Amino acid sequence: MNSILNGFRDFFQAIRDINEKYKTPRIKTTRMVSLSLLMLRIYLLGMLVLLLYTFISTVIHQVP
Amino acid sequence: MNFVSKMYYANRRVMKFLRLLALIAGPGILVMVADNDAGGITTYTATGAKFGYGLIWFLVLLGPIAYFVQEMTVRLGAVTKRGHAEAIFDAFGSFWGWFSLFDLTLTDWLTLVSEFIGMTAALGIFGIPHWITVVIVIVLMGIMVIQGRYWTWEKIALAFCVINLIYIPAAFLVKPDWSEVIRVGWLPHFPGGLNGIMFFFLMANVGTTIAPWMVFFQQSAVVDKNLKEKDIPWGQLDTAIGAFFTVLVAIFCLVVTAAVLKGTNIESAAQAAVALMPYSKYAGTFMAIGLFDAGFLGAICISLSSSWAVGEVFGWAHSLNNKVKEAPWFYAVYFLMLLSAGIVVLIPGAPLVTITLFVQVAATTLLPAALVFLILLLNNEELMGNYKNNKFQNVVNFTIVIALILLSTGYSLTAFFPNWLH
Repeated sequence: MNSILNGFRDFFQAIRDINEKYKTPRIKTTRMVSLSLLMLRIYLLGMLVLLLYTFISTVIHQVP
Repeated sequence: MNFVSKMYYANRRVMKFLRLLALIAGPGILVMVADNDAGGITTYTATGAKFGYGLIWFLVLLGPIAYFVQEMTVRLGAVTKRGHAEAIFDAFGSFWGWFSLFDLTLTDWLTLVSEFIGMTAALGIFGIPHWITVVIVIVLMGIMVIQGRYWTWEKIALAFCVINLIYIPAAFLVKPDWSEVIRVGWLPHFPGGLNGIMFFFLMANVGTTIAPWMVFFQQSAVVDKNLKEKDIPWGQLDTAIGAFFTVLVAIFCLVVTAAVLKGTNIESAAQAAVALMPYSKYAGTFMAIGLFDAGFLGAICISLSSSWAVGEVFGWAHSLNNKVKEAPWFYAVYFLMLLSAGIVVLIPGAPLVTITLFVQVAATTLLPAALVFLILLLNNEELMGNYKNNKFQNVVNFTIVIALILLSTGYSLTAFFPNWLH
């Protein structure tokens, strides 16, 4: 049991280390970079809305 | 210098060129041929059966598109010595890094399931039970990686690429009218007009041309192979040869079904193989062997792209040059992906159709991000130095990336709203 807990602790520690290591993006934030990342966020948000819409409408259709 | 001497030196130059090419070629050919995976073969057979030879010209266009995108990974890998996942973490921070890594692993796993579906269906035609196929695949793929040498793994994988050419004799066996293939196939047009169905097939073909795992795989393979900046032209040639073969295989695959199954609705390549049997037993058999090989090649590359990416980010040893005990987590991820995907296919009543549909959606969320990061990194002078994109490359790559994002999103929308094109 202890070894499993230690395993999880090590794993989460590794994730914290990675987050710390890559905390600051190294790429120079030019207008092109900012605009591209903004567009990407909007796009992914749109996809997420579509996924939720499809999921909810499927659930509504299945409710008698 | 007399004629004999000239011939001798010309021959030496050619042999030297071929020896160097044989040494450096690998990641590009592999990624491109593996691009014709089980899903790809299904798309080509369905396209041939639906529109005959009418869309061959479109497949030809996909070759340069794949080349321009994948060529960027060669430069990025050779210059930065980092895989794509690590490069994203480093340049864009942990949010985009985790997003890419999580989405890549999910997409890869779902695609692996679809490769297993293809492989089990292919060998099922010969009466081989699904569980035996899964065991054979896992054992073969295990043997390929645990010998501890990238070079050996690559050459075995390239041998499987040669089997992918089986669609060429299959096309000759069904005796198509070659003059019609050339007359109809090379003339850019949309058989039946640019309607919803046509648009769906165009998107499906584009969707199979560039998948997110390809970007991650080739960059990691370039790093694992230890290609240097001076090797970039060879890496580009390797990618160009791969792009040529991927289009060649796609065309011959399409010709097989276009010649004898035109007007049939094909939903899987295995169905096409069975339907071909009455016309030509050998062509049907070749189609089934090709489908198994396509799924196998896809599985080889996809499972590795995930384990490379996870290894890079977590800082574990992650090279095929490492033995299992030197890189236990790298191989653990590799086998975990393989085993879990294989087992899902064997579960009776598993939602395989939903999984296949979800592959599209997951890939569409990752592909734009992977491509945008690729272009941004390739424009970073600090990172790329002399190897950054020039104006011509930027114009071509931006055009390709925007078109790919639009078309793959459209294809994904068909998963959300199956009737939107009708």
